[in-house]
Amino acid sequence: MYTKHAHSSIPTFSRRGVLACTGSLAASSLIQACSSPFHGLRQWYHAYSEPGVRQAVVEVAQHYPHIPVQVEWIAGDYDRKSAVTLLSGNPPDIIEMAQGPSVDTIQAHKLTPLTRLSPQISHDFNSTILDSVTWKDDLYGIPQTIDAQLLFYRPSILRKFNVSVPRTLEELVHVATTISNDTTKGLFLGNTMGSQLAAVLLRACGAHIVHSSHTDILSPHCVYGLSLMQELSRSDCLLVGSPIDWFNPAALTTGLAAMQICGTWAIPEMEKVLGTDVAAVPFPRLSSTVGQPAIQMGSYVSVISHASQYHAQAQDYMKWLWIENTDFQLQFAQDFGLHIPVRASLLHRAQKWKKTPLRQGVLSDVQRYGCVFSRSVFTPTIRQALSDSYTHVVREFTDPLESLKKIAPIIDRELSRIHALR
Amino acid sequence: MKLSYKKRRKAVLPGPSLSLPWFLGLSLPMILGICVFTYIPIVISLFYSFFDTHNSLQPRAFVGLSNYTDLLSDPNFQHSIVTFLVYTAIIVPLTFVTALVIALLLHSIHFGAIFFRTIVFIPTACSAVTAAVIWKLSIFNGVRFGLANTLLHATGWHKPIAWLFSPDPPWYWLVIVSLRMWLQVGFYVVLFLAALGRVDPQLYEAASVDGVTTAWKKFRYITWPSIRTVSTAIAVLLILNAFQAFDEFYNLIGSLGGYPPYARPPLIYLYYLAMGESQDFGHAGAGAFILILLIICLSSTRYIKNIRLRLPQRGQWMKKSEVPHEG
Repeated sequence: MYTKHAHSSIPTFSRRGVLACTGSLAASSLIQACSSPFHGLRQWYHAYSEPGVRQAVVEVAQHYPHIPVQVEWIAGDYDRKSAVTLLSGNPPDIIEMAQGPSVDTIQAHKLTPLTRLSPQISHDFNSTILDSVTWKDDLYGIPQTIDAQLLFYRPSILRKFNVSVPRTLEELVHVATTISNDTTKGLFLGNTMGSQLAAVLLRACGAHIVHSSHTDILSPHCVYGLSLMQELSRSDCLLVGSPIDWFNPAALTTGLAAMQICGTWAIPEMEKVLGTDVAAVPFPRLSSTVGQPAIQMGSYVSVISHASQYHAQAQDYMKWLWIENTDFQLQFAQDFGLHIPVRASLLHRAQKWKKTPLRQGVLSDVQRYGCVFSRSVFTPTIRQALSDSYTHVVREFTDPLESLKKIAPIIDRELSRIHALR
Repeated sequence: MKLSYKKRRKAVLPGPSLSLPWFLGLSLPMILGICVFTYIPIVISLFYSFFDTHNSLQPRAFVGLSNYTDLLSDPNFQHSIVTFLVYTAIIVPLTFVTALVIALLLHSIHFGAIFFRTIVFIPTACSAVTAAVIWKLSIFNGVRFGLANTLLHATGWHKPIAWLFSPDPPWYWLVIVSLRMWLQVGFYVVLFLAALGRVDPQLYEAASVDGVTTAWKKFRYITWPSIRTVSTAIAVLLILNAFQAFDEFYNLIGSLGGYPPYARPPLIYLYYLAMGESQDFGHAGAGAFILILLIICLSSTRYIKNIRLRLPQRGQWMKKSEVPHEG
């Protein structure tokens, strides 16, 4: 098969020689990699879209004096990757989890309770968020920063159509239908027409959903709230099918929609493009007498995996990073996008939150109306059931009461299962 | 006495048989790979399906068949089976007929046959995920500057249609079916072309002499029976492919917020059950086994079709594949 020039005076590279060289190179590098394992803490962060975050977290990890810390930057579907790595035998020591761990993850003994840290975390941390990562009086994670979702709108468009700012759901339907036309739709709730808002909607209609052993979503207020969202969908004022989803303010800033549900992380981007022509209100209450405005808060929570070999050292590192190192916490919250610091003492020092009236208004609204849908109670089954029910009502136009009746037994079953685990 | 099929075949092979060590040496890596990545996980998930397993690789408690009964009575799972049946009923006949028509056309032209065949086949080499992203974000996005909406606007329909986002009317079927057709028709065209190439042209000449003049009659009485084995194989392949439909649904309709409850085929439902946040391996394993039973039932219809292939030959009944070919 090979034409051999075996006796040529010019040195030639035969295929065999090249293959042998590359094979030995690969083998030696593999051996070298296997021979020097890393002794220290491995920390996972998801790939933040804001520039500069990676350098900042790597730099602060290098300054930790007691044990080497290796920061791993994970791109792609981080939620799934972090869930899968907890199942494996060799997870990283410190992981960032979105919204905190679920009750099943805790029950499966995948995480270490932060017993050395819970005395340190006192009134300074936001108690609502801390409750969401506590299970049976054990703290399982430290929240890093808080993000909140509000309804952002353009006051100029509302003034043009001579409508007032919507403070109730009924007003929202009226405003959205009035200001909507073919080029700029009235409201953008996300490409799924707001299925991620199912829990917020029901909370704004006055339901607590999971606070006792039986869910209270079968109230007439919840049915009315869902029927109002159905009316929004039917009246064709919702933007759907945007190539960029709701967590990016592009629909608002490019003029595809006049109002949009978005998060506080996008405030700098919105102010850069729209200037003062952007304002925010909480998700509106059902009517002036029923319910209350709701702002959904969430945060990435640092947890320690149970399979880690450095439980004590990891807790010490987390204490150094997220309790003592206030300069880093402030920088992390403000300099990369805009997030709300978890600690009340840092809120006073957060100058970037005082820059514009919009930011000050948002901060005071979040402190007043912020609520958390804790992963330890809102299990994936409950969230999927709420989201499916919302989709059936708003996109397939089924009857709201029938749809809620279908999911109420599912939620009750999950609540009794969680209650039995307590 | 007629030799059995196996003995006849062995007599034809030249030389002494040293095949066993070579066979093992060359195929062992593949066999190991299939065992590790396919058979062993099937056995493990069968094991999990009898236990309650959440968020952990250690099963928690033995629950017997309750995972199976939970899933069979789950309206979401039943709905996903209906979605799969609807999808199969649309895509299989449509792809079959389109591939056959294109193959017949390509078979009959002389100028540029290779060029058109290449064009038809190129989408098969395209990644399904890339194509789905282009379909979703560029051609069929719901805003006014998407390609489909721009074309509609030019024909006078001024309201942009949210193709993938409104279940009423279900425009997403058009997007999913057009994507899958674009990706897979080329492959089946090539299979049909190969089958059409083996039909003896003398049959057509003899038929013309005997008075079979129209193209439809030639197709119905000569071409169609001659490609029957390949047609059956293609139909089964299409059904199995429709069964494995995952990436077009996941990339077109799925989003960061999860997956909506409509157009959710069983593989996607089980994927979210097992690999989503709930990590419910017990129910997902049960669902996978129910699907395996379903696919066994569907693919065993092939044996029903084989009954039709028996021809009487010199008073004996044998399978058509055993009829000795001439030449």
